Formats: sequence, structure tokens, C-alpha cells
Amino acid sequence: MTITIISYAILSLGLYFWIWGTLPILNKEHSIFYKLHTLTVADSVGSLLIVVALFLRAPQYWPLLLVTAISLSLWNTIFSYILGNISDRPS
Amino acid sequence: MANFTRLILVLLFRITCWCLVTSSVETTNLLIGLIVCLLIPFGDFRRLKMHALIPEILLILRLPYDMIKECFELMLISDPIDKFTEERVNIRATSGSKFAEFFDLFRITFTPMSLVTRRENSDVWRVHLVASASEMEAKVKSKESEK
Repeated sequence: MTITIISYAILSLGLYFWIWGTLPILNKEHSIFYKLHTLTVADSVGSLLIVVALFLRAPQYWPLLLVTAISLSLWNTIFSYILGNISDRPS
Repeated sequence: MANFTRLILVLLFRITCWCLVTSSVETTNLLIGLIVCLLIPFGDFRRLKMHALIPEILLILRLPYDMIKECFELMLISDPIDKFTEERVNIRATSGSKFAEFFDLFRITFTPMSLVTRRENSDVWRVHLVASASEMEAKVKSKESEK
């Protein structure tokens, strides 16, 4: 019961980070760099929290969830760096 | 002996990845994994610098705390502006270890408040940060009043 409540709390926080991090993409006033920062909140932190919540609910799938967490972290970080690098090229 | 240790570590890393991806530690699966790991080219594992790599990997353990903390810091900024700074490349990353360099970049970019955009030179990363416009203005004003 306690684990279920904790997993729901973490899942909700992850979903909140997802929504908060994704919405600024629609705002034209923000720079691409700020959008990349907020996307880190959504893609990296939000997704990882959701994976942690799933681990609490189904611990038997820990190897797959661990691979997912590592892949998400690496993919999101490298993609942020690539987009940041492209946006910051001296003209 | 040192090269043999490096080779064993590379093999262990590959077998761990194999077991994680296949979600199995059965003997047959381990044997297939071992064959696959031995078939993949080893590259230049002799240049693997463990003394540079291990501290970098240990520093990654601190990331979950920084990640959550910086998320809330970013959320509290209501008037964001772009700010570029220069950050020194970690001394271990400058010792010639490509993996240590990668982990240094990974540590900075993974957290929401900082983002490496490029490498200025061999010693410096160009890092993008998010600052609050009102706070920056207040700082400039206080500096001007000091003068």
C-alpha cells in the first residue's frame, strides 16, 4: 500500500515535470536554449521519475527499466548537446 | 598485468550490458553473451585510463540530487534570460581519456540548469545557463551604485 502511494506520488511528479518542461516549446518568446533546459526537465528528469515509479510498481522488470533509464539519460543529454552546439555556432 | 585487468573490465562491462538487455543470467545466455562480447572488436583497450575514469563515474552518483534540485531552481525563474559562461574542463578529462571527457560533458549537460554548447579550447567548455533577468538587473545596479 505504502509503495503504491509512493509510486503514484513519484509518477505524478514525473508527469508534472513532463508537462512543465514541454509547454515552453509553444512559447515563441523563449530562446532555443531555454527550451532545451526545460526539455531536460521533461525528458530526463520527468521520464526518469516515471521509470522509478514503474520500478516500484513492477520490480521484476528492473533490468529493462535500468536499460531504459540509462538509454534515456544518454540520448537526452547527447541530443541536448548536439542541438545546443548547432544553435551556438558562430555565424 | 595492467592490460589484462583492462581487458577483463571491458569484458565484464560488455557481459553486464548483455545480461541487462537480455534480462537473463542463465548459463546458456551467459555463454552466448561471452561469445558475442569476444567477437566484437576490442579497440585500443590498452589506453583505457582507469584512474581518470573511476572518479568521474563516482561523481555521476551525485547527479540525481543535483538534477531534482536544479529542476526546482529552473522552475522558480519567472523571467529567464540566456547567460553564457566558461567552465574549466575537469583535470582528469584533460589527461587524454576520451571517456573521462565524455563523462565531464555528460555531468554538466545532464542537469537542467547547465548545458554545454561547445568546447572553446582544450581546457574550457562553453556552458549555457539560465539566469533571472530581474536578478541580473539588480546585480548590475548594485555594482553601478558601488562605483
